[in-house]
Amino acid sequence: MDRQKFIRNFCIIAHIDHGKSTLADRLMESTATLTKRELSAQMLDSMDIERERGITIKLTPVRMFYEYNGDRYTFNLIDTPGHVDFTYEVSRSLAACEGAVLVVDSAQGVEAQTLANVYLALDNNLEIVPVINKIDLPAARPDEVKKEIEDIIGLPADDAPCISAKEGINIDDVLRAIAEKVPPPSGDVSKPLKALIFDSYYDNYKGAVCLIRVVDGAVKAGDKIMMMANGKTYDVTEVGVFQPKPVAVGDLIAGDVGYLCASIKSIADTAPGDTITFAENPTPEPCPGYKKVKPVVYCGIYPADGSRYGDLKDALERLKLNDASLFYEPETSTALGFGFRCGFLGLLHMEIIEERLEREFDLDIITTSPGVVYKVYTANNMVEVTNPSNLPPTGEIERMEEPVVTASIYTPPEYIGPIMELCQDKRGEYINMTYIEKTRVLLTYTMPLNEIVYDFFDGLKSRSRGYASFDYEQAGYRASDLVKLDIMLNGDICDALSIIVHREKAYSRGRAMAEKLKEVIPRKLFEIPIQAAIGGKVIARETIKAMRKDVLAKCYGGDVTRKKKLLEKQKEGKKRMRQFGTVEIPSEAFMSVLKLDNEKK
Amino acid sequence: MSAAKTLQNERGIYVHIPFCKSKCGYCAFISVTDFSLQKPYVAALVDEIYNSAERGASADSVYIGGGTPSCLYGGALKEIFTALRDCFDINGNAEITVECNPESATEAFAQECRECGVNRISMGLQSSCDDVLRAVGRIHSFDEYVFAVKLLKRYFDNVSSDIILGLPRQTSDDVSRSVDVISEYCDHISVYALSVEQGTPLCNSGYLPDDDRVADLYDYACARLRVNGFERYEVSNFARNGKQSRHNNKYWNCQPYIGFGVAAHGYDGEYLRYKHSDDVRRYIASPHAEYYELTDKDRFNEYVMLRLRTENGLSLDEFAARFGYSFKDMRGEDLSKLIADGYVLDENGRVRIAPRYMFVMNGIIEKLMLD
Repeated sequence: MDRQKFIRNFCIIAHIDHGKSTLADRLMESTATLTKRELSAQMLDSMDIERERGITIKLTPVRMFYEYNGDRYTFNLIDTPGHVDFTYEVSRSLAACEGAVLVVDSAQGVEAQTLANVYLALDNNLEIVPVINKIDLPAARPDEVKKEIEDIIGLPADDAPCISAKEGINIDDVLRAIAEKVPPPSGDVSKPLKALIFDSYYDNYKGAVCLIRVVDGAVKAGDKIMMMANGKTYDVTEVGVFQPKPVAVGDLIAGDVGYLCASIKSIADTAPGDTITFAENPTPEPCPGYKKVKPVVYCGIYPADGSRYGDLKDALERLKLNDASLFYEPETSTALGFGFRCGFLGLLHMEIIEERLEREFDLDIITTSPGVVYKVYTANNMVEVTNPSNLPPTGEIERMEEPVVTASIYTPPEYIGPIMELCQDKRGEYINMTYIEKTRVLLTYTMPLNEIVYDFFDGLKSRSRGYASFDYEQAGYRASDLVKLDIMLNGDICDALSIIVHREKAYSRGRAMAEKLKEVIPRKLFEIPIQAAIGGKVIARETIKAMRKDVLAKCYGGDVTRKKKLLEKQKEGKKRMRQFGTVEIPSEAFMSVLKLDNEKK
Repeated sequence: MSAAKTLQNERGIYVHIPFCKSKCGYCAFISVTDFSLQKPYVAALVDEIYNSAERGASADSVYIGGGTPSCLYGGALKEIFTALRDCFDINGNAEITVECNPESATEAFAQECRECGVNRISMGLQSSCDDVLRAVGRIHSFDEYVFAVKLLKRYFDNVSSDIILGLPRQTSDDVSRSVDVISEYCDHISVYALSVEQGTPLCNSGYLPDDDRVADLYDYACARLRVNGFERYEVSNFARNGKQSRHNNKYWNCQPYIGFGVAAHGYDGEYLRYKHSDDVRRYIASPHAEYYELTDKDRFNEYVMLRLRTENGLSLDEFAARFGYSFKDMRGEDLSKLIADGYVLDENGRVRIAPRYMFVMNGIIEKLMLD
C-alpha cells in the first residue's frame, strides 16, 4: 500500500539534558502538529516530574505529517526515557521503530547514557540519524563531536544536521534526514493482524489503552481481537493516534503506531510485549516479547502518618497500574509501623515513585535506606535478603554475596584522580581506562551496587564539577564480608535505620549516621544516647543533650491567640513524628540519614 | 467566693501608643516614627474610649503601653486619662502603669503622669552595655537609664524595668550589671529571652541567639535576682515587696480586659476576644475592633498555656469552677505521667511546672493541651 511507504517510525536517543524533549517540541512545531501557543514547553513529558526534571519516564508516541518532495509523510515519534533505570522501556520503544535520531550536545559530546542506548538501537537494527544539537552555544564544537560519533560509535556523521533545538535552527534538516534515511516499515497489510503492545495505561473512561505498533494487517473499531498471552478476546471500541492528544482514526495499518481501546478492564491484560491479533484468523507467530525486569534497589516506604497506611496502599496499587516494574509487598517495622517493602529498577526510579506518591497522592512518606538484594547462604539454604531486618542471625550465616555492576564513567582527564579515588573508596575494582579523545576518558570499574546506591552519583558530580557522566550494567554477584549495622536510640535498636554494609565501611557509616541523627532528632527534656552497633558491639556513640530553652518569651494580652496557635501547631507537628520508645523521631530524620553527605567525612 | 467573684469582674484596661522616636532592631510591636500622626491618633483613641461598648465598667488596672508612651506630645496622656476616667469606674487603689524609655523619661513626663494618677512606671533597659544597646538600635545609653530611673523614683515608688537575654554581643557581666542596677531602684523586673521576629532588622541581619547560651544567661539572672530578694511569679517576671503586676496577672489568669488603640486586644473573660487593626492610619480613620469567638477547646488551651506560665500554676478547683468539669477528666493521664516524670508538681491540687523546667515549658504545656 502506498501510505505505508511514507510512514517513518523513529525515536530520539540522547543523554539527559542534551535536548531531546526540546527537539521533539520543535519537530511538532515545524510540522504544525502543534502551534507555538499550544506548546507548553516540552509537550511530551506530561507528568509534572518529567517536565521539572527534564526527563522522560513513560513512552509517549506522537504522529506528525511532513510534506517533502511533493509527498506527505507520516512521522511517528516514540519518545523514550533516557535514563539507565528505564533501559527496559527504551528497548520496548525501539521495537516499534525503524530509526532513531541520535541527539548529541555539541559542547559536551557523546556521554555514557547515549552510548548504551545507541548500542540498544543498533541491536534492534535501527537506522541511526545523528544530529548535533546546541550549536548556538559558545562552547559548541560540532566538528569535533562529529568525529567523536564516528570514532566512538562508528557512525558516519559528516552530513549530520547541526541544529539548535532551543533556537529553532536547522530543524527542517532533521525532518529531511528522517524522511530520507529512516526506512519505511516493512509489514504486510494483507496478512492477519499482528500488533505489538509496547506500553499501556489506564483511562477511567476507556479502560486499559494499549499503545501498539501494527506489524502486519490492519485493525479498526468493531474488530474482534485476542491477546496472544492469555487468549482473552475483546471487541475493539476505538483506534487512534496521538497528535499529541489522542484522536480516533478509521484504522491502523501495518507500520502504524497508535492506540487501541477495547473496554479492557485490567491493565494486567495488556502487558507490554504481548501481541494482539484477530480472534478468528490469528497470526501464526506472536512478536518476540520482552524479558521481565527484576527490581535491583529496595527500600521500605511508610506513611508519615500511620493512619494513612490504606491510602499508601491504594496509591501504590494505582502507580503499579502504569508501572509494571514497581514491586511492593507489606512489611512492618517496630519504629515505623505498617508499610511496604518496595523494589525499583534503580535509584532514579525510586526517587520518582517517592515523588509521585507525595505529589499525586498527597502522601507524606518515610523511606528507609535503599538496599540491594543480598544472597545469604546458611548451612543448608540460600535466601535473598532485601530488608536488613530479615537477615538470619550472624551465627547461622556461612557467607554472603552482593550484586556488582560494571560502571562506565566518562570524564574530562583532569578529574581522573578524584574519580578513581572515589571508586576505590566505594570498593570499586579498576578494569580499564581508555582515552576516547584528548579531552575525554572512559573509566571502567566493577563496583558493588550497594555502594552506588549510597550517594555515588553525588560524589561523582561533586568531584568532577558535574562533568562526569555515568552508566552501569549488572554484572552478577560476588562474595563479600558484609555486616548488619544497627542504630540504637536510648538503648533500643531502631529497625528502620538498620543497614547492611561492608565490614570496612561499617565504622565510618555508623559514625556518620550517629552524627547526622544527633543533628536531626530534636532535643528532649532528657539526654538521649545514639549508638551505632554491629551485632551488639557499639562502634560509635553520640549524645543528644537535654533541651535547655523552649519557652515563649513574652505572653501578654495581645498575642494570646497567636501563641496558643503556635503551641497547638507544634503539638500537631509532634504527632507526625514517630514515637520510638521515649524518643520522637521526625520523618526527615530517616530521610536525612540516607542522604548523608559523603564529602563531609 | 463572692468576694473573689467581684474581683474577677474588675476589668483591666490596655491602651496602645504606637509611636517611637526610632524602632529597635528586635521589636515587632506596632509603632511608627511619624509624630505628625500623634494628634489625630490621640483624638481617635479618645473617641473610641467614649464610644466603648463597655462604658461604665469598673477597672482595677490601667496599662498604657507601646510603642513609647513617653514620646507623646505634652498633654496627650491627660486627654487619654480624662476620657478613661469619664467612661470607666477606675478604683481608687487601681494599678495604673505607663511604659517609657530612658531618652524620653523626662521631668515633664513624670509630672504629667503623676497628675494623671499614674502609680507605676515600666521602663525598658534591655542591656547595661552601650555597645549592645547600639547594636540593636536603642537610642539611649546605660548612663541615661540610670539618670532616668533616679528621676522617676522621685515621683513613683513602683518602677519596673525589663532586660532582654540573648542580644548580639551580650555577656553574662552585662546581665549581672543590668540585674543589679535594676535591683537598686525597682521592685519588679521582666527578663525576656530574645525572640527574633520575622521582618525585624535583627531577623534580616541573620542573627540567631544560641539557645544554650540564653538558657545559661537566664539561669544566671534568676540566681542573681534571688540573691537580690526577688521571686519569680511568671517565667519572665520577678517581684519583691508585693510588687507583682496586677495588670499582667490578669492576662495569665484569663481575666477580662478592655483594649483601646491600634493593635490592642481585649477579652471578656469568657468566650469573646477582639483585636484592633494593625494599621495606624486605618485606625485613625475608623477605630473598630474585630471580634472572634473562642471555642471550648480554645478556652481550655489558653487557660492551660497561660496559667502554667505562672509559679502559682493551675488550681484544679479554680479550673473546675471556671469550666464546670474536672481538668483530670480531660488530661488526667498525661498529667499523671508528667507528675510521675517530675516535670510537673501537684501541690494540694495546684498544678505547676517544676521550677527547673520553667524555661523548657512549651513541650510540657503542649502535652496538657487538647488536640
